[in-house]
Amino acid sequence: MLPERRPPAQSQRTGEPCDAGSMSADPGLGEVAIVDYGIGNLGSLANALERLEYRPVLVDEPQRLVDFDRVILPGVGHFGACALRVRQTGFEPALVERVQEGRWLLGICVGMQLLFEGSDESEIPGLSLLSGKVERMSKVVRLPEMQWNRLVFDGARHPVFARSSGDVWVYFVHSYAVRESQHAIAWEDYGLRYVAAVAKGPLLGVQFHPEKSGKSGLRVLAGALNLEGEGV
Amino acid sequence: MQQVRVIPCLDVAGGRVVKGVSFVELRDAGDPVALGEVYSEAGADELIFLDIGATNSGREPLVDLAARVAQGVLIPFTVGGGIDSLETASRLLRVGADKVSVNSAAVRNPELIRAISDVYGNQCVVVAIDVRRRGASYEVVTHGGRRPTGIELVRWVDRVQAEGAGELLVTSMDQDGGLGGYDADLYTEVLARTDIPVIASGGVGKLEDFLIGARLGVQGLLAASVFHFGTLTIREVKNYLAHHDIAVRQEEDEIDV
Repeated sequence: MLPERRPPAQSQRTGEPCDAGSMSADPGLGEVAIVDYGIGNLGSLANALERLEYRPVLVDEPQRLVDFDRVILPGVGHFGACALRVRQTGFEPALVERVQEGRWLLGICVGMQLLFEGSDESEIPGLSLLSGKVERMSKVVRLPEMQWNRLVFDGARHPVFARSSGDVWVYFVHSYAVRESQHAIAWEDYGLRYVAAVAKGPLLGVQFHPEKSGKSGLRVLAGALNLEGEGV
Repeated sequence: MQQVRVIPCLDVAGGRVVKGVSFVELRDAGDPVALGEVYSEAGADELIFLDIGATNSGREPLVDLAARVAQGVLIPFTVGGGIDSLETASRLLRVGADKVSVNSAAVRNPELIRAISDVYGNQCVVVAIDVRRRGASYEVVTHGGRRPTGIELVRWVDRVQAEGAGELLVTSMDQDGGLGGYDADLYTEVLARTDIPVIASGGVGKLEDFLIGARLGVQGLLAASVFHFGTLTIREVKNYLAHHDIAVRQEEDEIDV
């Protein structure tokens, strides 16, 4: 079920709380805005946030984003459709401004791809908050990649992944991916090596779906939500 | 690295999970919400929910029940059964399904695949294909296996991929519920014909069947009876596959030390 748009206090808890208490971040966790621009299954993400004892709030008015310390930009399907919708709904300036101010933002799947300059999938540009382009993945393996994959880390783990010490398996669904980014903090190997997660200060992106990745995904989401941004 | 997903399937009728032999003799296997949570926690890589009564009785799929199952799972969730319009698909995707599976309605109206794919992307559209062996080839059947279509499998595979299918769930109606193992010839033929992911379904009864399926190169191994009735656990299947060098997801707390 989707959470109430307002007031968030009426958002109902669903399911059992996550049994691993260590996964949840701080006591008294706050609201998290989910950008509701008409794309995707927001119920799963809201459900995962509730398990971490955050209150998800679907926000469909760009001017309200400023009220939230944590904002998640979801996205599934076609890059061009998402890029178009995020502009038609008027969210682009609010998102760009937020990042310029150093405030916390997490893009998930196509939401992460939108942070880049563009994609092979569409002529419509991305938000250009990160340099680089999303490319068609190599067909040496079956596409879409629709499976769990093990994250690959170079050196020390970024705090987003600090809550897991062993292998981190997460669920990917995509045919386009970023090959290189100076802000990459995790990769995956699917025929070729692709960027699985990026971080530039409090600007975060994950190509996989933490809300669909069992307890591993919840740990990643908790790690991301716990990162400090301006105003967090 | 490519890995194979282990996928329990909830065949739902009358609000309960049932599983029969070749889709006819139905036995009660439990509450779908409870089973979904159990499988999500137990390391299943995905959950498929099929409302097997929907097509035959002309009802819409059980949207509310699917929504309740979705709330309990933290893994990819596919819903199928009687989805015959973009509107129904949208309702399911809004209440927590990640993918929808279309079957009989797509045979009647292949443009349905394109309609859903254009809006939600091909990764949201699973085309379920039920087949029966006809000599050296396979015929697509619908309505829980009761209605032959005269369509040859390979032609249908070409068509649905062209329409925007993101994945194929191929069930052998000759094997289904029979615990005799996946039909190897069937998946060899499908895998050679398409380059999108393929889920094998129908007939798995023992650990070796999963391994044979994985070695055929399919991306998903669906099973129902062996999990619902406790013959095998997800963990047993994954440990067995991993032991035979098949790449499967094993979380830290799932690995037997």
